[in-house]
Amino acid sequence: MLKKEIKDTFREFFVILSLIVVIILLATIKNFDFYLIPLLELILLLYPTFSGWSIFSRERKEGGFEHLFSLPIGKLSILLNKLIPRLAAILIVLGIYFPIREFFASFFFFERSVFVLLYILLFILSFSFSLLFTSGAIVFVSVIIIGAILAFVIKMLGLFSYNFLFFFISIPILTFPMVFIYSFLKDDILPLQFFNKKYLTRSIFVFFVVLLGLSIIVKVSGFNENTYYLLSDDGKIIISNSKKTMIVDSENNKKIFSIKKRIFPIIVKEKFLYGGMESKDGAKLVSIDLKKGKIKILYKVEKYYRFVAPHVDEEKLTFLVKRGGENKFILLIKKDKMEKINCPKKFINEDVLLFKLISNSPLTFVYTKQSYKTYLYKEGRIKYLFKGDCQFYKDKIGLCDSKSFKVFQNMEDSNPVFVEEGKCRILSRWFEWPYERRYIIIKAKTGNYIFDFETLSLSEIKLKIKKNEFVGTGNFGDKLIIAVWNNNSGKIKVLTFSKGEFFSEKIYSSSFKGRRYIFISKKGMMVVRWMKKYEFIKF
Amino acid sequence: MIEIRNLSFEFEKRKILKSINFNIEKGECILIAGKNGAGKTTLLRCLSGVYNKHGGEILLDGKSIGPKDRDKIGYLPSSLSLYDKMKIGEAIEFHKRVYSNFSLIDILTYKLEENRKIEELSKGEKVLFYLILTLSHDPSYFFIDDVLHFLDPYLREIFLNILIEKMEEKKLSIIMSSQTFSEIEGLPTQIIILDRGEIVLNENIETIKKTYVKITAKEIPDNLPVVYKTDWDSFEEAYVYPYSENFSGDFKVEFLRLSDIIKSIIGGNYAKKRD
Amino acid sequence: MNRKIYYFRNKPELIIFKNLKKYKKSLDISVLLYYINNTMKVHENLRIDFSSPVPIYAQVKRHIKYLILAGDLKKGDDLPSVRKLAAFLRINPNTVAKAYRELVFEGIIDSRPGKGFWVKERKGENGERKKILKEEFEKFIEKAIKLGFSSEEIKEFLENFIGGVNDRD
Repeated sequence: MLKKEIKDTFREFFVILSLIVVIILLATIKNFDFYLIPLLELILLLYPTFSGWSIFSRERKEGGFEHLFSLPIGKLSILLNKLIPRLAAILIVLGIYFPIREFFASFFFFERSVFVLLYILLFILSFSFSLLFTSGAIVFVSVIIIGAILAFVIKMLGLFSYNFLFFFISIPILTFPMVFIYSFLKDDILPLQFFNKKYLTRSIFVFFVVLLGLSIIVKVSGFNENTYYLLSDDGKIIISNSKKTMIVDSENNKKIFSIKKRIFPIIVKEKFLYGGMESKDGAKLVSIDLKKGKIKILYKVEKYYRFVAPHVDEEKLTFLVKRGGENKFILLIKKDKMEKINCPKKFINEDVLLFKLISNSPLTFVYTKQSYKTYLYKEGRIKYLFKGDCQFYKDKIGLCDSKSFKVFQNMEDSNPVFVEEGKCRILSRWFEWPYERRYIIIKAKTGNYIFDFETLSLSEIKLKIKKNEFVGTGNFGDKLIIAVWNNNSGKIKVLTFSKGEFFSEKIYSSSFKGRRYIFISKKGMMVVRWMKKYEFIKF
Repeated sequence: MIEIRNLSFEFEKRKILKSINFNIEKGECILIAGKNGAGKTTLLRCLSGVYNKHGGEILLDGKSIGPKDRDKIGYLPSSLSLYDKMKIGEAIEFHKRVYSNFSLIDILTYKLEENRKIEELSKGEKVLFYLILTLSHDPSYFFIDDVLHFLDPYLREIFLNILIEKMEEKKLSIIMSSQTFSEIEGLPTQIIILDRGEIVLNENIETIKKTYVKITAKEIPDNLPVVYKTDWDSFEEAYVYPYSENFSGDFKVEFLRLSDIIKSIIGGNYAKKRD
Repeated sequence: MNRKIYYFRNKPELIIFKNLKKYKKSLDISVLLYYINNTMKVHENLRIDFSSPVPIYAQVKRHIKYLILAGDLKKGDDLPSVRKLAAFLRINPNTVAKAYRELVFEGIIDSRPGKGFWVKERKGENGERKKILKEEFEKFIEKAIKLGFSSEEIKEFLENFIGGVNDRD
């Protein structure tokens, strides 16, 4: 049984493999590689669809159901014998695809994780529908349509985070194979019409029950009701949930004011909180006066637009405005003046984490999530700089990968003003990126160092940082605070530096354990656990 | 021994089999007859495990029948369901892997060409190949759906000879459904007639041959158990069951061949339905 | 005088028997049945009447007894194997086995382990013969009476007929 299925699988596998080879050959002969990956992506998404549908295609075409079910093999093992070789084959193809993608990567539709999920989901869906329709074409078309809708929602809408969306979509979709397997084991397949009717009503029923149940669970438990926290340098805590936004003074734990609106806090700059506000007609960028609680609408975008990759320096604030998966333009706010700059074409489809405009010069740094690459953009030309971590300070940029740490000033001549060789890593946290920081901590082969962007000096600190420990920093004028914590214990070690000199070391303990984010201000630190609870620890 | 207890099967709320009860002992041969749609094929499919969702029990040597027990069961479906694109050799190989004690039986009259695809075989050849394939895993119980009509007279002869040879050699128990009876009349030891999913007759062949008769008379006496009656102008003809020697009257008694017996029982049921 | 009547169900197959040696390897029971081997001296009478209420095994038994009494099967002759006879008559092998079993029980035939059955004795010389004759006569006389012959006419006919048979010898 298994051997026959492996043979059948291999036939399909061979076709798809030769298709891949042909496309790669085409790419090497002609200058085709830009379209290569999107083409491969589409073809590869058809493969699991076909493979899933084909599990019973031979029985259907050649009339082998009666023979199959009279064999001394249980129905479960029939199903496993059919599914396992095909699953293995599609995984092998996936394994072959990723190195090719890495090699040719210039443009692709889907991120790696999204692609894998879509690929597996299509397989699962198509085998769940394989017995439902008499014609393979219908299975094919319906699965492709569902897949296209999925892809569209993921790619274009981009309203939720991928994880949440996949959770929400995948679980009800997973009821299809469950019901299929149940029905396959329970019901007689031979009168297919009969099986189909039962299976269809059953799976639609279960699908909607699960969808409804899930929606209720999500609604009641507030699973997706994340509370967002932010801490200003002077110790004001911003708490935002779906009902209201609250500002609390960390000093006395008293509420300063609250607004009955949801504001996604983005950045605090000079006593103003900048945040996004969603409304029916589109998102708004607002600023809130942290003393008076006055809301001022700075900028309004249409529906489905979002503000991402904020960046603050001494004189300006920038946002990237995004619609779905596309970056539309850069919003520059400079002393109440606002400017719209078109996003460079190259970066339209990149998932940009950081976007910095140096003064008003066209010099731009981009740090993207997809490739973790830093680009230099000048007068319409794009130059790839570096793969690894990056850090900005005024007109300087620090770049760090696993081998070296370099600091550039005056990017025009691209000569680094500072180089440190050896195994390096910047110990930083993602939520600190919007800020320009004077100091950063570097983990190098020889030890841990502090780098001061102002004086361009590197000095060693006697600080042991284990593999599973995290570091957060905050710089306030000449003062630098470093917090080191381990997610397993409640202990947080806090070191203070003043004017580059070691000042004090203290150990604080938090009641939270597990995955935490730590925000640091002048007066203390806020420990946030899983977007649900927070705790303020005074220094 | 296979015991069938209270077997029932429903398809779209239509009852195809209703409370079927019978046993098959080792070496027995049961003929299942009935008009089209009486449930013969469904019964065989239930027995061979193609249909699982039936009511009642099917017990093999006292234990409920499971997938592994199908090693001991051969089933020759009238759909002749095999993988058409497979070659004969591949199909043999496939069965060798699936069944635990498969060894191809030696049939000298019919030469298997391993490189031929199954779809290239004529229906009759396909039946014969299926028979050889099924007998090769050494089943103790063999279920044959109505396949005789696919065979031409020559292949039919070979088919029956192989079957009889294996019946003797392996003490096969056979349940066969058929619409043609003349060629297989000597095989069954028991006959079951189905009508609309119910057993209307389950009788030993020797008993039925003795007790099922056709009576011709000017007027058929009222006290006879008449199954089916035909009124000719000058005389009447009736099939009587169960007939006993004690019946007296002015009539002519004629014993019947199996085909006539079955024909008249089915006809009698048709007539009943009309009333 | 033994009359051997060979049964050929399908005429074209005769060609095969002519070249029997050549085809021997590709022959099995189904073809072999057209060729009646030496031990299986099948008489015309060895036919099963499926419309008879007499059970098949009883018919087989009666036929074998008849063959023995008629001298077609002599003492020491091998009987056809169960499988061959069943296939030839297209009846259930169990039925043949049952007939053989009862014949063994009656002491008419015997079995040799591994070699099948053989005729042991020509038993019941008178009783059995008379019984068969009586049955045949019953049928004959019944038909004669129906045709309206008187008992005198039947006697006369029989005497003339027997005379005719003797002349032929």
